[in-house]
Amino acid sequence: MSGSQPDKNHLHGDELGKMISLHLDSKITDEQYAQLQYTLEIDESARDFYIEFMSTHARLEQSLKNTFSIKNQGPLSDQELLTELSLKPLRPSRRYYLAFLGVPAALLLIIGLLIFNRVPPSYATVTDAHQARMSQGEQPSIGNRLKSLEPYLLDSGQLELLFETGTRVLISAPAIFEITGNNQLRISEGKLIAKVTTPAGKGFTVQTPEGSVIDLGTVFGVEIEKSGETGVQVYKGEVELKQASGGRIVLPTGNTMRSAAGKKQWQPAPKLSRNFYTEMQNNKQRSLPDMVFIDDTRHSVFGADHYMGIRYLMYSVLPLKDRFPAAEHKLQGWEGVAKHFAIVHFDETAQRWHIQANEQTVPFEPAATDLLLASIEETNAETNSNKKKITYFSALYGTIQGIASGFQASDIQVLPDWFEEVENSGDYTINGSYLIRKPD
Amino acid sequence: MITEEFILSITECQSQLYSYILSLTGNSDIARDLLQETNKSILEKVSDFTPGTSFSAWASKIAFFKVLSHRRDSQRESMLFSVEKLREISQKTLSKNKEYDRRLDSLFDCIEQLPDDRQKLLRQRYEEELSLEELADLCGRTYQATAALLYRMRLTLMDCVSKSLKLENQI
Repeated sequence: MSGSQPDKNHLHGDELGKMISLHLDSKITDEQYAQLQYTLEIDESARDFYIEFMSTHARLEQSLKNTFSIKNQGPLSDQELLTELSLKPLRPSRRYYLAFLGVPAALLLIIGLLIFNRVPPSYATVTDAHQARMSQGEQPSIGNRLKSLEPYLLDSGQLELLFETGTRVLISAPAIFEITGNNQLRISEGKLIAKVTTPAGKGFTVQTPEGSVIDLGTVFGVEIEKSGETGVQVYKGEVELKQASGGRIVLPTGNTMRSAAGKKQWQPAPKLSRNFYTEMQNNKQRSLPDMVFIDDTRHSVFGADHYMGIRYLMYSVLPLKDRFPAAEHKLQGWEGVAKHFAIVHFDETAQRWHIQANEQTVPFEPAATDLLLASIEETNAETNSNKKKITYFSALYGTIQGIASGFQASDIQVLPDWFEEVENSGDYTINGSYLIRKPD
Repeated sequence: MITEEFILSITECQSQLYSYILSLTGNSDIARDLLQETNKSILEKVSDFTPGTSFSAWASKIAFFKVLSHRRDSQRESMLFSVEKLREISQKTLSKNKEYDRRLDSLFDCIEQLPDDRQKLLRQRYEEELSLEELADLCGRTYQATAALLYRMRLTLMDCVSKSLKLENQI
């Protein structure tokens, strides 16, 4: 075992061997087990030793059973052998079995067994596969039907599944999942978004290690981190979370709950991990074209200190720094603000839209994908953060001077007079993790 | 379709499968249960197997998924390895299993080289499945001394098999 770091939990040499041996004899204490787990996790040479030790133990079990036990029992019948093979693990080595196995009779018994063990049906079809690779190198293709009750290990990429009920599920690697019914799926690691749009899909259930998530007509995300910590966020509609205690929680739009590994206790949380939003935003385009995930670490937005009319919060698909190059517009500080959000206003005199940059405004031509999310109005002549009236365009669809407005759902919140986490009159902070645009 | 060759293959790979699952789970009872489930799945999925390809590789894959399912259904704390490490253990064990029969033959020879009382202890532990406490009573030793002795014997046999294989490879 390599290394000599003073880590009391890192087992070495005989200490490690004894722990593995005790583990095999089911005599290891919880503390020793934790030390063994830790050592095997961090030390590759310890894992190599463990594999060798386990192999020896397995061969001892088999060879000694074979040598001293089976020979004394006398020959088994074909039926006994097959029953042993199919319903119990074999103890003796292969040599013994081959000596007694009557193949024709065995064949009949296996066929009989198959008749009583129907292959489970398939309920989900792959409808999109973005650089998806399963464990052992398989590449799922569009049109593949996934077998139910079989664990799938998605090593890389993303898969979109369509259930017979019309429910679509986007799964992002690394993930381990299993189709457990015509409208349910079990996931023990990974990230997914479920979109339920049909009456038949209502009640779609995601079984997680921390409890089931049941759709009540919605779009929601589930994230299970490697540590086992599980999170659920609702993007539209509601889901029902089952508590281990038997209770149920209804989680409405925009809300997130998490459960620490093994606790089976859902607790409110601000959002899922940033990694979740990044992966989903980068890869979801074809599956969820109307969803936008916000993974930006920058939340500040330049405001208009002295402008007294109506302003709007605008979402721009193209990052602002690409759309308004600093050199061209002599802009400063563009790198330090939110990439896709800006405060804009329409100049009635010039009949042009203006975007607010640092200490200046820049006229711009709206893009077809621009979206106004909220309006911001002063309620009196004196600039006072408490007097700003913010109206979110939730389901308020329309067009304002050539720019589309309104969204289906979002958790975006505008905080006036805050910039880079300090109070700053005239500027804004945008908090939120997603928005769903108006459906096409 | 189930052929005679298929039946021979499933029978032939039992020992290796057990050893493979044991390495992944670290627990004999769980390994036996999962081997049972693996066998059942192998029989159900007979039509998925492509004749001419490696049966043991195919069967091991099914076994690996059974281990993953078990990991999912049990408390994570009860499993020795993360999924990432399970993959590593899987690859290394499969690689070692290629010389499974040679190792098994060597083990027989190594056991025979042990003193009679040590062979007896092994039989009591593995054949009669006596617990450490029962072994300690029979040997007239303390529990700790018996555990240490058993560890030493396993280590001795492991080294003996490795040396014997090295020698064979040199010849």
